[in-house]
Amino acid sequence: MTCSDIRNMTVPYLELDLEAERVHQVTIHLETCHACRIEMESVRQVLVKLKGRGVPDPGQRFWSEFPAQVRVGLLQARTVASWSDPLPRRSYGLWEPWWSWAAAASVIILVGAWFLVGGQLLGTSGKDLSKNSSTPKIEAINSGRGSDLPDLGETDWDRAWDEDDPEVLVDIAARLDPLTVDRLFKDI
Amino acid sequence: MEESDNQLLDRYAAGEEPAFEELVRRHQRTIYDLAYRMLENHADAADLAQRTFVQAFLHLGSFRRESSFRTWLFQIGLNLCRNAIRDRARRTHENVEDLQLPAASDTFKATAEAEVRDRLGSAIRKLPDRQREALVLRVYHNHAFAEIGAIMSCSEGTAKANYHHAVNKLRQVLVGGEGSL
Repeated sequence: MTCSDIRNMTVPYLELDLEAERVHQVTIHLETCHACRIEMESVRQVLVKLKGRGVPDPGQRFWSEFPAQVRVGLLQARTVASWSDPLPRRSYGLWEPWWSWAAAASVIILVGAWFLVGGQLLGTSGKDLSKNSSTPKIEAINSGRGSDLPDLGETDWDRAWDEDDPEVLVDIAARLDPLTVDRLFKDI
Repeated sequence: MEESDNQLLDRYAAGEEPAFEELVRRHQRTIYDLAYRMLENHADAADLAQRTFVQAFLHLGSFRRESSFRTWLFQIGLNLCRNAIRDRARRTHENVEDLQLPAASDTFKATAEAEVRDRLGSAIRKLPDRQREALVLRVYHNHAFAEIGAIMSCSEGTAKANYHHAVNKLRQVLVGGEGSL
């Protein structure tokens, strides 16, 4: 058995965690090897010093009150748990909290999609809308666009969309203030 | 004859409150010891020991008795210790003022100051977390390596290797000075 083997077995040797035959081999080696004896002694010193490191005792009062403290902590934890999940989990069926959240999310998505689609229809198919709508509806739309835009309720939208007549555009432009005209037609 | 932990757990499950107190009393010192050796001050150790028992009883339904109740408590306690050490490191990183140790009560102040100066204590503090855990569980709680592996969620061989590395590093510090760790 080499010194390297002995060094690998130092800790288990000192902790009596070796087979009897191994213990015998290590003991014989130590009797003849001064370096390994020093190594063994240094590890033994470490283990002794480690074992000697105590933890300060917090006192009898701490220990006697500890179970009650745990009980209070447990009650608080259970209270918090019951707040976050007030009903028993097993009999919810479709109305399991997960499902209710999913249903709410679906409703929000559907409402959002409805508004989105509606907005696109207003933006791209004004012609169709105007055919079936009366002036008050157009006014309502206009009024929702902000106070800085002029009222276009009197415009003949059918003619504007169908014929794309320059005269109609000029007619519309004539109803607008110069700033709005610049803003609308600056890219043309 | 003293009742086993499992018998006490059965009694507690049946609604016998004295069994709760008996279980806590039986293990409170070892869990506090573990917490103190990992966190090194009374306030944190007391808080962590309490939280260990709270978590254990709160989740008693998930304890399948494949290990002993003591081992299960150690698993919970060690996990909470890891979280506490990680939180402490993060706070220290965020705020340099937190570098100072939490104030110990007067009763423990002298001991704490002595330990800060202690070379072996300093060396233990510098050990990698896993090696320190294996060292504490082996030296101070006399766990077998298989049990240490179960508590640390690693193999028995890994637990043994961590422990041997820890002891060798501490030996180097004591023999060759602080810089060798």
